[in-house]
Amino acid sequence: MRPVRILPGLHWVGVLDTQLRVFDVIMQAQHGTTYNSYVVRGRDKVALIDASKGKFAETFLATLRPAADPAEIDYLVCNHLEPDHSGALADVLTVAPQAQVVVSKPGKALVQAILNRDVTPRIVAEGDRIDLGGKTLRFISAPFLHWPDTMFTYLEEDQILFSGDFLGAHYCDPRLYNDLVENYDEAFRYYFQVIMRPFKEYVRQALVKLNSLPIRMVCPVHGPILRSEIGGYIERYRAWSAEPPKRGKKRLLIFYASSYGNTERMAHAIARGIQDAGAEGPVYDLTQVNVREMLDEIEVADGLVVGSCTINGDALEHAWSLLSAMTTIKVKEKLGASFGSFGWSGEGPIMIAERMKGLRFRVPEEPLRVQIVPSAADLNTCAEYGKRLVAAL
Amino acid sequence: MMQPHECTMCEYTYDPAKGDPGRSIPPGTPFDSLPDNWTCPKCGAGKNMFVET
Repeated sequence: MRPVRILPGLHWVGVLDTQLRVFDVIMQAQHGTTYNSYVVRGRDKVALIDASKGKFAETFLATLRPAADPAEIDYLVCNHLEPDHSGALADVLTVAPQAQVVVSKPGKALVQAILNRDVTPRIVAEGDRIDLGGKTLRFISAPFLHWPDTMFTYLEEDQILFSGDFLGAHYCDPRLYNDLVENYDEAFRYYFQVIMRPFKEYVRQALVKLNSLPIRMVCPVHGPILRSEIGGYIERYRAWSAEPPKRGKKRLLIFYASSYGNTERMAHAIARGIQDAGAEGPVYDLTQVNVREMLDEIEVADGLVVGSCTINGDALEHAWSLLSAMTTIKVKEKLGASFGSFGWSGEGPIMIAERMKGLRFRVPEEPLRVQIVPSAADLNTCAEYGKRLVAAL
Repeated sequence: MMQPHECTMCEYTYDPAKGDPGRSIPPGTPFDSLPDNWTCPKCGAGKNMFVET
């Protein structure tokens, strides 16, 4: 694509990835995506803001050249060093060896790990400015949106926010602007849920900073540029990142996957114990629920109790799916526990407990295991287990 | 070697005088004596991402 002139002295020079359907191995991208990059030209200096994915380096440079000869780029600002924006960095620096890489403090180690050579980037912090001559870039610290290095760059004179992944979406449309493309609300929401959701507290911190910032346009690195109803997009981020209201009662969610109903019986007995101890312990059959739709519920709970029987030395994949969904929410400090009925070996609950520790759950109790059919005494043990979990909250 | 170390990723500072009570690392533990698999309590970065301050 040709560069797109956004304003005098500001060009979009991105790449359209129309074919992409799965991003980062884990994320759907049914509308493809864009890797947006921007050239800001002042009277004296030229800055390139973010680069592109490595496999598109040539396409990217071809789009860049009509907007700026690489040899005249003075600054290469990296708001975010994930390889979809930094993969082409080495190629850019080959044709623009004079360009100074500009990163946040945490970005320094990352840029070295990407280029695998000694680079001396310019490190910028909150409020630092680079004057391009009538175009001033101001840097806004915005860590963990969604990597440690992330920051925003604000073009003061034109009130443009280069926001990195923040307020972006995997959505590919050459019309580029939010008021010209079709409705992409769902892609915008999904992007938040997968990328920003684990960092809600950082989203809230960033939104506070944006409160006092006049913004004419938001230029993210993926998806449409926002130039109308910007407040509406920010409002959605505000709602999605809000701290969930605290419940009156403590709450432990019990999930189980059961072949013959034995692990299921254990689940209900544990739930009785939890309730007897004055907490809530709703029980969910993992074969019947959509975990992805329960993330809000999981997020506000005080802990998870996960049960699985053991088949051929492993827990059931339902339990693994549940735990792999935890990457998009904050689990640190939540209580974790595991249980299950087994035939002869019973590794399942042990592996679940280990996985929970790896995810930084607090796992105060050993896994609770029963061989095949839980007896009345076993069910009492389950109830006691539930009570102890509540006591450990 | 009671020098504090800072995480280059999130700027958390490990202070040997305080240790890392959340991970049962007692006060007085020098950074170099932390287990190799110790990670930043704030962001999870490995020991090698820390620098002396």
